This record gives sequence, C-alpha cells and structure tokens, in this order.
Amino acid sequence: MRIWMDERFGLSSVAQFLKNKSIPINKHTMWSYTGSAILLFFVIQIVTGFILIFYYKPILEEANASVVRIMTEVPLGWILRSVHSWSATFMIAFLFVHLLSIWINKAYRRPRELTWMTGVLLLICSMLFGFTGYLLPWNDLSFSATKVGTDIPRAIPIVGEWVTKLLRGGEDVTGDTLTRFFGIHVCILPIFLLVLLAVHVYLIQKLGMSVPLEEEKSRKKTKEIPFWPNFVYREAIVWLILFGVCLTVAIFFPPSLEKMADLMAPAPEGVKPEWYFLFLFQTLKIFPARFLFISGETVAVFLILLGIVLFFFLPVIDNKPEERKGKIVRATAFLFILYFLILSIWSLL
Amino acid sequence: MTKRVAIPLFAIILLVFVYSIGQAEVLDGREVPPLPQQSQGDLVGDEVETIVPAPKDITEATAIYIFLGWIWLSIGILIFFLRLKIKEVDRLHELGFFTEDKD
Repeated sequence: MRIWMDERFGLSSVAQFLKNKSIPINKHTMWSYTGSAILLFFVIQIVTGFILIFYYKPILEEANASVVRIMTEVPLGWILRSVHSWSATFMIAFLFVHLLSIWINKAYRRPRELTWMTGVLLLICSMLFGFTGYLLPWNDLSFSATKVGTDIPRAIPIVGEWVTKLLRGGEDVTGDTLTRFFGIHVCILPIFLLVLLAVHVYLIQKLGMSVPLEEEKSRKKTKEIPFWPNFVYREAIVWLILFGVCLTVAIFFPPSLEKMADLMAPAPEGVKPEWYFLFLFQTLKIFPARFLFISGETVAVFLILLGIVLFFFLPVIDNKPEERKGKIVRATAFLFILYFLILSIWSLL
Repeated sequence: MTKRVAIPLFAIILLVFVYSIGQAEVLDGREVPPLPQQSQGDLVGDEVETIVPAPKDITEATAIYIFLGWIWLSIGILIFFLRLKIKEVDRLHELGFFTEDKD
C-alpha cells in the first residue's frame, strides 16, 4: 500500500525532506512553538465551524434563534460553540505573541521578508474572521459593535462611504449584512487564509528558521535537532497541553448569548468589540472631534492605516538590524506592547 | 516503562474507568433535579434576556467533568510516552543515527 501511494504521490521525497530538515536550538526556540499552536487552533476552528454550520441559519429572523438552539437543544452544542469561540481567542493571542517575538528577535531579516509579510496578512485575515464572526449570533451587543465597526471606514475620504456600503450591503446593518458577513466568514476568508497559510508554510520550509542575530554575527555553529521526529514530538506535547487548556476553559467559561438584536432599538450601553480590537477602538475614542480643519476620526483612521502599512513593511524599514535603527525598531515593539495593554485596559474601565 | 510505574498507572486507569461507568449507570436510573444555573437563561417576561450556557442537569454535568478528567488523563499518559520518545530520539541524534540516514 505504501509503495502504491508513493508511486502516485511521491511521499517518500516529502518524508526525506522532513528528515533532513533541522531546527536550530537556542534560547529563542520556545517562540517557534507559537507558530504550530496557531495552526492547532485553526484546525480546531475548522472542525467546530463545520459542525456549527449544520445548525446555524444566516438569516435575520433565524440567526439568533438557531444559536439559541445550538446552545440549548443540540447535544453539547454549547461546548462546541464555546470551543469555537475560545480557539479563535487563543489563535489571535498566539498570532500576536508569534509576530511580536519575530519583531523583537528580528527573525524577519533577509531573506525572510515575505514570510513576515504573509504572517501580517494572516493576522489581518484572522482579525477579520473575528469581526465577521462576532455579528453572526445577531444579538444586541454584536449588532451595535458591527454598526460602529462598519461605520469607521466612512472617515476615509472619497472611498470610505463606498467601503461602508460594501461591508453592510446597504446603508445600514441589516439582514443583508448578516448574510454577507456569513459568506465572508465561511467562504471568502477561509480561501484567503488557506492560500496565505500555504505560502507562509512553504516559505518557512524553504528558508528554514532563523537564528538569533547574536549567534549569526558570532558565526558559531548552532546546535540543531532534526525536525522529524525530535522537534515534532516536542511540538506534540505543546499541542496536547494547549488542546486540554482550550477545552477546559471552554467548558468552565462558555460565552453567553444576549437577546436578539432589535433594528429599531437604541444601542445598548457599553458596546465593545472583541478584546483584540479594543486598543484600536480606544485610539478612535481618544482623538478630539476636530483636528485643525480635519475630522479627528479621519486622522485616527489614517494613523491606524499608516501603522498597519509600517508594520507590514517592517523588514524593509529595518534593513540594518544590528545598527542603531535596528535598536529603535526593537524598542518600538516594546512600546507597542505597552500601548496595546494600556489602551485595552482603559477601554474596559 | 518499568513495572513500578506500569502497575499503579494501570490501577488508576482501571479505577477511573470503573468509577465513570458506575456514575453513568447510577445517574441514568434516577430523576435528577435541574441545576440552579440552567441553560434557559434569565427570563424577562416571556423573552429570553441572556442565555448562560451550562450543563442541562447533574447527569450531563457529571458526564462532562468525567470526560474532561479522561481527556487530561490521556494527555498526561501521552506526554509521559512522548517524553520517553524524545529522550530516545535525542540520544539517537547525538549518536549520529539520523546523520547516517541523510547520506
């Protein structure tokens, strides 16, 4: 059977490649486990998402009721929904940690610029997953948060209005928005994410993992272990623990569900997006209504977009990582962590 | 795995297994009152205000917690074996076993 498969798929060459691939072992190796952890949570989301699709109905009248049915009638449906929600949270948290560790360790330096860029796109894709998925239960809070979120592009001159209409499927957040978000969440984003993930994994396999800057400069022979089986066994331990933690958290802290959104009702108090959008949400809030002769929101949106562009092109900006510029870029990473934490906590208060 | 480890490990697995089967049978045969934190949520008039997810009754709650216990036990056992495997493959790597394979 193995020979039959090998003749058709050439699996032995893949196995040989994995056997020959080696992983550098140093004080930063622990950060490389975050990459595979993201993959684990992504797989959990695909599996739980497939099962949830069997019961969820993406139409205005049925959306909330179908989620209620999942939580109360479907056997262990509430755990399924909770695992889906918590794995998304864990995935984005690990994405942040993964990218920040690469930023601080400067693992994006030549020739790994494209690996970083695909990673940033994967983060944006995952955050969009969270944004579109938040509306699907169609409750008061998610409805109002989506209203606020889809209103932000309006601050961009010329194209802003069009972007908002495109996202909402009309002037306001309605049943059309729900159907549109569902389509984006289960069809468009997964395609984008899978393509990006394939490119990202291919680049990692082709270029290998980076070694810390100090070790590269000293030109000492780095200690290495084979990817298969030495590193995979270590990763398996991390996966098992994370799977257990995710399941336990999902059982003990399941997300609740508020009543169905009323299109005519005023927005409830304390509308907040998911935790990973809180710092952006607060950034928009702290800007004054007018900034010289431009609207404060427009300035804030432009600054956020500029930040995203700079973040994307970080390997190009930080082209001399061992010099003064490189040190400033590393310090910026710590400033970003501080900014993220302070604004997120401020938004929650 | 030595006998000193294997015997207690087997005994623990057997105990948990017997206990979980026993619990399931005991709970299946009797009427159980609903838990105070029911999944029906806080009712305001006739409308459901917030649904707080929780096990439907004591049977489901016990089944879930036993299942979770099983999961963690399995994870613990798998990690135990994986650690042994890691030691073995690291030793083989240091001996140059995989390097010979490359050639």
